Amino acid sequence: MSNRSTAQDPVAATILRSKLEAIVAEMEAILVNTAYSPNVSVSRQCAAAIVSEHGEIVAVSSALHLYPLAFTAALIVEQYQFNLSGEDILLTNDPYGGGTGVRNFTSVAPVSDGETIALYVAVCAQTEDFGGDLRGNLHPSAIEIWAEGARCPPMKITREARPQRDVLKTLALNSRNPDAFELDVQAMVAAINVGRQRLRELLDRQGRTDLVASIETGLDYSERRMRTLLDSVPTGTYSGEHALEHDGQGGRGAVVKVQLRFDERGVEVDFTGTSPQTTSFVNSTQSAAATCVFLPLIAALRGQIPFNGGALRAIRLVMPGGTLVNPRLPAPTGWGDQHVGHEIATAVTIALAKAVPQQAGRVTANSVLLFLTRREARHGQTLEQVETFDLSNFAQSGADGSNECDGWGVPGATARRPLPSIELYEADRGGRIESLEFIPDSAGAGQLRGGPGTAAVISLPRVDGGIMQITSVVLKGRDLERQNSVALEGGGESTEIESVAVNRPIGDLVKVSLAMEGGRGWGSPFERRPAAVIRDVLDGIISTRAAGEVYGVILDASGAIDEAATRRRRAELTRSTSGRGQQGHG
Amino acid sequence: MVDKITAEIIREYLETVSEEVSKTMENTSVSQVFSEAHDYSSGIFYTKGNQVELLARANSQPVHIFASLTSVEAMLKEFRYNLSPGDLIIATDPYFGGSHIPDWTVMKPIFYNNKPVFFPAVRAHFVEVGGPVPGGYNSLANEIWQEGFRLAPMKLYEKGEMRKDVFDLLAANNRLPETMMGDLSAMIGACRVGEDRILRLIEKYGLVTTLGAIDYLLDYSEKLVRAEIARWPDGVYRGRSVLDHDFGGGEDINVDVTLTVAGDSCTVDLTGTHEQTRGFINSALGNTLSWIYTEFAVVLAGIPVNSGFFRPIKPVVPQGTVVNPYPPAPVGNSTLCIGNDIGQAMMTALAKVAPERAGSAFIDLTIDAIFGNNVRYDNELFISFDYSAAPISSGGAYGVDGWGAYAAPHASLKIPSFEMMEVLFPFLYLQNEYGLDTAAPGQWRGCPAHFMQRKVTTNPVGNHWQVQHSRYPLKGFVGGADSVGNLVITNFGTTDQQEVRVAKESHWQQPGEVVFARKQGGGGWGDPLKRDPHAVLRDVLDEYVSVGRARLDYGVVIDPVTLMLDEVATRLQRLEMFAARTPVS
Repeated sequence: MSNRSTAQDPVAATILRSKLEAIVAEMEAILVNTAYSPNVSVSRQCAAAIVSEHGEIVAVSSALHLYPLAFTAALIVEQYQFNLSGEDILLTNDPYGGGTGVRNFTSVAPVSDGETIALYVAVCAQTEDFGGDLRGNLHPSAIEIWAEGARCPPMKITREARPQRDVLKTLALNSRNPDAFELDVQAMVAAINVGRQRLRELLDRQGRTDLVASIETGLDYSERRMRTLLDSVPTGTYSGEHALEHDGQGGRGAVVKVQLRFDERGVEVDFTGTSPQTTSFVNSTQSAAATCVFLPLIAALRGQIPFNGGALRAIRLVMPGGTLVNPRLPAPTGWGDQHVGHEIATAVTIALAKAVPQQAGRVTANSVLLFLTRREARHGQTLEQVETFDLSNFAQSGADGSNECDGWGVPGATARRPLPSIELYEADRGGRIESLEFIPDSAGAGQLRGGPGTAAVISLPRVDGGIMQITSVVLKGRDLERQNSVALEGGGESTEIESVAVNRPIGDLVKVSLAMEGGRGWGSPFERRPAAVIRDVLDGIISTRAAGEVYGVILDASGAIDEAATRRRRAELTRSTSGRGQQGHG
Repeated sequence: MVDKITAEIIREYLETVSEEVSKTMENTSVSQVFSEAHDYSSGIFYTKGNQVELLARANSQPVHIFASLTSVEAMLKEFRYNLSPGDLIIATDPYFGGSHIPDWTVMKPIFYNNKPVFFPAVRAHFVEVGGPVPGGYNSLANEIWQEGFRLAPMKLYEKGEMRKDVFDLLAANNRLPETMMGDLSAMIGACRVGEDRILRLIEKYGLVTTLGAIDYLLDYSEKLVRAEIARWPDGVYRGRSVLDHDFGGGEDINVDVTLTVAGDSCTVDLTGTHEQTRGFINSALGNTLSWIYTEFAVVLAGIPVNSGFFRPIKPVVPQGTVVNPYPPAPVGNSTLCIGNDIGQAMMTALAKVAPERAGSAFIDLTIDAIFGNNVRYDNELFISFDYSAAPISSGGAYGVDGWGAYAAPHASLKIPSFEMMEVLFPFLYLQNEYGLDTAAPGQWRGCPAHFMQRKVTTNPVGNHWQVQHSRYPLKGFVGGADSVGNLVITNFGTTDQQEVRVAKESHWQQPGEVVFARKQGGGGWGDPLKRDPHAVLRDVLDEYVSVGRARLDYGVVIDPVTLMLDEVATRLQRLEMFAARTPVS
């Protein structure tokens, strides 16, 4: 046996890191398996983390939640470091305290070692509802956060091992589904407790000094790896910007501007010049914005590094207050992780494309908000919002192609969420998915093409009582011929939602058709292997016409590739289009 | 057995403590809803078994009074096995004994010999409570979550230790956290004053004597109430009041009261009342009971109001109606409407057993929640109410004309000083006066309607207007006429002028724009033809009544030139008018 401590032994440090990652994975699994809300149990809008005594993330189960967990935990540690007992558990949803939107709750709890605190554990989960005007807390007409829902600053839900029944009761009272809320909080507490138990076992086995030192080593290691990755980018300043199509309240012209400064200290991400915050729910909190910086960055740099607070040390964020990426209270923030999240990620991607050409690819896509609210009078004439049906995920955008592969499935940032179950929707809701398929020729052309867009036609659920209203915000996207669209069909007519509908009664409507754009291609379509083009034709992703006109692939009478004709055709097309895929990048 | 003299001294002491608690809060609070409009109340409570008893209350806004009892009940139910010295509890939720979200109750248990014995509580209206609309009056609300942040009973202090996180929670859900903290601190301080005074009482008389006095004071009120009810003829008496609309599309919302008097007790049954509605006029039980007992307190004026007072009166309030809704019905406006209608229906029934005690005991508001920024104060945000559009609701009563303020039981709600309002907010009043021929005729007439015109000066002022009782004006009693109804007009005096029929959210009154409000007085009492002609002449000279209406409404003939009363012509005119009335079969 070596008497070197784990901290100095790279093998032991790696084993420890795996161990910590296993703990957060186990915590997340417990959360997913015990939470009540489908947002957690099905859509997996949740994560778990271990946090150092100083508030840095040591391990996290999902990079999507790294920044929100990091910001929230750091603030709580700072605020409560002299006011915590080993058995306390804190709960918060505050978008102005590190969070994203009011239905996303984060719980942070210390892991004690005797009389002191050695580490913290944290979990986050998306609950069903937390008050406000519209069930589900995504409200396009909100102009203040209190119209989206209620704020919960860090609250002790367990204090000196005693659950704070009154606090929990008040929090649950502010949810339209108080039972589900309490069950979700219990699931979070269960995950916290398992995390604590595992870490206490580790503390007992390894001793605090050694464990903390090893964790520091792990953080330093990630930092070093991140810096190495960042060093691979030529020193300099790269800028990108992307405009928001509209803000859901008629506001247009808002722009996200970013400058990436790569230097010897890592990278500085500076949003100076970004438009001021709007009155609508497209404002992104700092942590949501930071996530949209981090995801394209790691995607472009292709680093297989452990994501933790160490990796974040090399990224310096400059987010001017009062802008879209760091709004001031009381701006609403509910949809900010989608939009302007997408615009932030795109601006960063554009800047990265200048820094590391060939590598940058979009990690997000224009999204669509689309849900139904059912209101029912259960008592007298009082109309309650009894449930919501989220239809926005039935059709999903395609990912971009990259220099390594065709785009497939949805863009990275949304890939964690599984596609909603058609069978469940049909069995449970009595609705029907009439069709769900790739849209031909929606995949951006390129040597490596984008993922195709999808289209769904959804028959609305049948409900016995009450009235149904639809709320939708459509950002069509401007890059591609094929745009996002939502159309309502019924009575032989089809009405497209131009940009926003809030609580629109659906009346005789029977169907919603939803189409989502495809991803962009990478490189010139004339460089694409003809065999791959033919395979796409056979798969129905590319039409025969597009194979000839866009990819320049010519078939002979037998249906086989006419190599010579294809070469001639591509040469012709190359001369007329300067050889670039019209919608491509890279 | 405690001797009566000592018991009475203790009873009066507790009343004084309630008053002192109220005044402490009033004098230390920040917002003018407390310090000027007096929209608060306080009481001293006591518990025996599962029963919570109100022992004494301050002479302030009565509609709080029963809701504070039910709120304290909810608190003690939540913390029955979890109460310690140094605890301080808050509750605001209408479905936990409250009335509407802005009315917060704070209570401090007083321990003596390790046992909680008394519970002073204060209850007050907060100007801001989070939720989608500033001020908590969201006329578009269909559910309670759309009205503000809900608080189940929670400890603000536990064993003397402040729970910082609970205060953070309150502040995070408030647009004016500093004002809220100021007012909340005033309430907490007031409870502590109550604790100090009551401990002194126990020190002086001992616990046994003090508790003995409680039995006395409850029995005393009960005895007086029973004696009064026993004088009423046994029988069944009905009353009905109808609300114009519920703000949510519903119209003609009725409250039905059946008062059954049997011996020295009575039952108040609200069966037949409209089912709960979409709009925010539903009244939680605490508020409904407050309004019922308020009317009794008016009719039985002079009897100390405590739980003994309530004992002979049995309310029956069916669930699922506008007077006892199931959650999550919105309730924001219920303290006024439907509260006013509960009061009116109740009074209509009571007028049949105690006509000389009947009268307008309601607040009937045209609400104007105002908000905006004021350039004079560094563009600081303000949220408040302009009560100037709302002060008049007093009607005629036996022996007294309606006079210029809220009806008597609500008169602790002061009309804020117009000058102060002009200093605080960016507007000027162009008119604040009685309107001619707007007083409801009666042997004793109602107060004339109040006309208000207000012009905005520097910064636009947001207004959430809510108007009721335009179609169903305040009622007259015992033959007195009904009032004239309310009226609000925006862009007054221009071609764009528009009447606010139901509600108007976020009407941004621009600099230069004038709004007009006609706020009705209460109804008249008794037959106008029996009014002293000299009193009518006085009203004509005061320009409350025109010469023409004096003749038409009162049968009083006055020379339009000399303004002299013609007594002979008046007698003839009145005889003619009596004769013309359809004979009662």
